[in-house]
Amino acid sequence: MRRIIITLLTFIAVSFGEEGNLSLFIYGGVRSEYLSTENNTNFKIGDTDILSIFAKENFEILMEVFIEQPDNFVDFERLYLRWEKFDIFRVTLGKFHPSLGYASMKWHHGLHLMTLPDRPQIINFEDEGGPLLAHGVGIRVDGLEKVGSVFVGYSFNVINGNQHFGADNSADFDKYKSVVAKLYIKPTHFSEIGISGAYDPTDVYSELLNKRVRTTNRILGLNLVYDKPGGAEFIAEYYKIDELISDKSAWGGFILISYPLIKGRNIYEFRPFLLLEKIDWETGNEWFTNVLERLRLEEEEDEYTALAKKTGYTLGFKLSFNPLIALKLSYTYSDNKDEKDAWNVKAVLSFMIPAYGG
Amino acid sequence: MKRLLILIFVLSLLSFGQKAAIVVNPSIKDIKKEEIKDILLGMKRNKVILSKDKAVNEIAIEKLLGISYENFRVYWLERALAGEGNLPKEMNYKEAIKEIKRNKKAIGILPAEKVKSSGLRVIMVID
Repeated sequence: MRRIIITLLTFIAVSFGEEGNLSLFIYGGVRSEYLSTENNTNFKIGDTDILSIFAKENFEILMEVFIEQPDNFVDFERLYLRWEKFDIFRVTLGKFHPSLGYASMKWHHGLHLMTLPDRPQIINFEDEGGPLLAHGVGIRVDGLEKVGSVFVGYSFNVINGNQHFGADNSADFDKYKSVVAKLYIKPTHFSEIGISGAYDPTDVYSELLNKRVRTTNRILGLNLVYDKPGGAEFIAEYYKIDELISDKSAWGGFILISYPLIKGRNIYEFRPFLLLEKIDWETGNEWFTNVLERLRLEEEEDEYTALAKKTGYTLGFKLSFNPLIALKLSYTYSDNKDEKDAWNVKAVLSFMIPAYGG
Repeated sequence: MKRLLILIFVLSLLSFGQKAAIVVNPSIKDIKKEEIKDILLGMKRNKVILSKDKAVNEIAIEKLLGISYENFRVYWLERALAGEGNLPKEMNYKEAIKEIKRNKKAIGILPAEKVKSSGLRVIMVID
């Protein structure tokens, strides 16, 4: 399967590259983790990400194929066609990351360019136990325009539903659509203040859980960002998730601070970072109860543990030998609310190959 | 060793005299410095064309945006991966001049001495 996809993407690159503007990237890595809960060190090859972007005239096609370990499971993480004649009005159709916050939209599946070894839990992917809408299939309208000295942007998304229970890549399992919206300003080129929200109803029978999952999440998110290339990075995001049927809330967020302390001829940059994260919910919150039950039944032990009510502290660094190869090392301590505290050490060697046009 | 030092000296003299020109299609009457920054950073969807000569790009990007050319490339990589546009192309000056004449919304960073009689509008020269 992997060979077919690479062949197909190479064929597209060679066939159409000269006519439009095509780029093809491959990401991957190897990693080692020590988890205090397992008292064991694992070495593993990381997930591999193949991303192609083809732009011509006012159209852009983006295809992101992800090969997940340990089963070589292949999934289309993003696949969309975008029409973008105007800055203020673009239309995107397909599978994308819905516009919640800043980091989820900036980071993608190939984590090489991200400072952290993994996403903060509140914005993690659905299959990693992330509680928000990280993926969606549907339509997005968005735009950005300069008003005075600042840029003002908006994004409005209608998707089939959350990919925990409500939908998958090809089907909407209930009659309800989910809506995501974001409004933001960019006071400078490298900063952003944003407010985002979602309304996400689910009403499906889950064979795995052997029961009907009926939840309605109302999500409110805030983000504050300063993210200068090669400079200081500050990303703060907060989310409140109200589950309206059980009338129980959840909240979480993270603050990431990093700065390149060393830059040199042989080192692109040495960037220490600090991540503080929080995730908590009221007992009886139907959404979290169902997500945790699903992860437990799927025997996703790491993801189940990652979604524990906790305050997490992570210290680490990203050492980039050049923009294409990086070593990330981190130590995380989780102050868990209901379970025993845990810690882990992660080492990730990641790479990016600009296979065509990059 | 002596020859090597002379070569380094000559090369440094050559790069010292290098100037970067910001050029646009002649149909564009005026464009402000702030707008050029917006375009170079992808906030507006005009096509950005860079010089094959990296020293020229370095001069323009560092002076205009206050970041290194390498950081600029990484910034655009991140944007591309986020689905916010493709990376600006590096072209030789002949291709670039042709493309900017064809595409009215394109903006280019090119060696100043190569665009003097190109017919393109030179917005600013940076050294």
